[in-house]
Amino acid sequence: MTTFHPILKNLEQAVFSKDPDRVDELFQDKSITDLDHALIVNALTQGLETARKELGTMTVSVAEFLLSVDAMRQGFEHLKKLAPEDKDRPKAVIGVIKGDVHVLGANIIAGVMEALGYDVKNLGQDTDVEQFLSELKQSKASILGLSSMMSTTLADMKETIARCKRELPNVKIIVGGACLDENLAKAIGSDGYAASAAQLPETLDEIERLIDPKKTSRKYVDYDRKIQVIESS
Amino acid sequence: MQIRKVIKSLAEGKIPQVGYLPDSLLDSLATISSYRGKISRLTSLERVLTTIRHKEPDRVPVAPLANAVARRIIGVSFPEYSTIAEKAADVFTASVDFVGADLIVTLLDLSVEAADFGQEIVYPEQSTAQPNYLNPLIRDVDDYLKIKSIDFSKAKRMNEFVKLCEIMVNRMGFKTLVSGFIFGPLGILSMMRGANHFFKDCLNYPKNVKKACGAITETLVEFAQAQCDTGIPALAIDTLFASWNALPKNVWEELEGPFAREIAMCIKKNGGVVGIHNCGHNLYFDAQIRSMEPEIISFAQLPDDCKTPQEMKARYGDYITLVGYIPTPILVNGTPQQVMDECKKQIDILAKDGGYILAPGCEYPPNISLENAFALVKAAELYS
Repeated sequence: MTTFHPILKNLEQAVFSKDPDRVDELFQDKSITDLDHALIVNALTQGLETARKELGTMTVSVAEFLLSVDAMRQGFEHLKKLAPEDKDRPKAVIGVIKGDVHVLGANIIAGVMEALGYDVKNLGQDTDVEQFLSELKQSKASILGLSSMMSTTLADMKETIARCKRELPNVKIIVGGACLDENLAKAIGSDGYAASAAQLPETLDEIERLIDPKKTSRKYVDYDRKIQVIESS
Repeated sequence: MQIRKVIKSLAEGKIPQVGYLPDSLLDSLATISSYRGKISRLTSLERVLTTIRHKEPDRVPVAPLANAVARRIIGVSFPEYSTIAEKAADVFTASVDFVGADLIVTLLDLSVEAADFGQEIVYPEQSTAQPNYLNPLIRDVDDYLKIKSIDFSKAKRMNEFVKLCEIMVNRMGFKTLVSGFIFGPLGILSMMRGANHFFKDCLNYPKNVKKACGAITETLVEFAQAQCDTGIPALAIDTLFASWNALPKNVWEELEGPFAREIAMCIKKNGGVVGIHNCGHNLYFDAQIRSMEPEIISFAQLPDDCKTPQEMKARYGDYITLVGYIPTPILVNGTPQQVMDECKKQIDILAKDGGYILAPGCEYPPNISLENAFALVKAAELYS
């Protein structure tokens, strides 16, 4: 078992080059069953991380990035058949505020969070506060991500944040969307703001420090330290 | 023939189609206005026409794009605003009378065209009309091939929109320049498919998407023609997908570029001014200019080939009139003074030698107070 097994490199490349068929093909290779689950996860998420960095430098467009997210998820689906799903991942709930139907941004963020090791429940478009609260309580998620593209739903976003904080004070809330910036995100009561998927890991680091300053990273890939193994909390 | 049309418009008290006038005449008129602007106040029309000929008017023209927000001045609901031309016209008129504007763009919402192609639209009381993405017209990639051009005479919302343009052109006369609006074919398809699938389809099934673009564009050219027939002197095409947060540049040029051009050429043939609106990030000014040869670009973010607004002004400012780009979050959350400070910053960089209209990067947020729209107008008066 080695980090440099050619399948791993090929998986990483298949995700980066948005090629789900290639991901399928690689999972048909019997030698993949000999590899550590963690290394496969790492290869898939590194592929998306490379795409995310190129998204940050505008070398990759959002449409292309979405295809990389799909390729990574394809790999995760195969992995479920090879190994039991990791039930110990940190949980997050995300969704688009009621009144807004633009799900694209939330879907991208969900993909990046999955790559960072989170178990994400994406409630999709037009989600009201009761749905957010119910899912948060049921999943015991520690992070809530709220998205809104339209300025018309900002008042609802503010209300959703206030209500969630009142009922679940330990849940940390990050927001994003075309109508927001850092100042506005603070003004409506959020704990963090992600301008784009490119900025998300830093925002999540800050949020996790708010949740538990001593907590060791539970990410699949610790990008800051360039360690290619899963850490335990 | 073209001069006759110009004379007819003038006789009817409408702004003539400037594209029918020779450049030398327009430049001379702009030069005269620019000089006159140093000693006296220009009209809104003079101000806008001077700046789009890249001469400095008496002050920076301003377009607060206070569209749907002005419903609240006269008590019109969102659904009425979206679907009844007379109501919408009253809203735009209230916006001009109450807030002020040198230029208005008759953008209602982005669902007008998709509704007529058969997409189910919801009309919330407290928000702009939007597609029901749980019931998309295009459910799989083969459905693109089923999209056909439609009988324009039966296109209810587009015809209502044309009526709005007609009312506004007649009502505004020489007072304020009115621009029509048209959503590009990719945007319309996105409304009928949902952005998440649509983005991927553009990369995975470009032939299907392009075929649908062709069919839709046939109707859009009719829509553009009908708007031009009302005497509207300018028309903005929204090509949102020509930006990094949508498609790669080459894909946009392949999929929408030729169709956007057809619409733009229809406007130009009618003597109209071609504008582009695109509130995407890192938008492709160069590709859009190649496609549509616009006179005006309204934007919310810098183009992909410019790192600073100074660079944008240097690269594009001598032949494109830049419209923008006060950020939405500042309008929502900023104080009037903060808005005015941002306006001043942009005026200082972009207004020199004309070719600039102060405006929000996108429509003024419909559900907030109007005080920051007033701040925009005041900034144009104070800081030019």
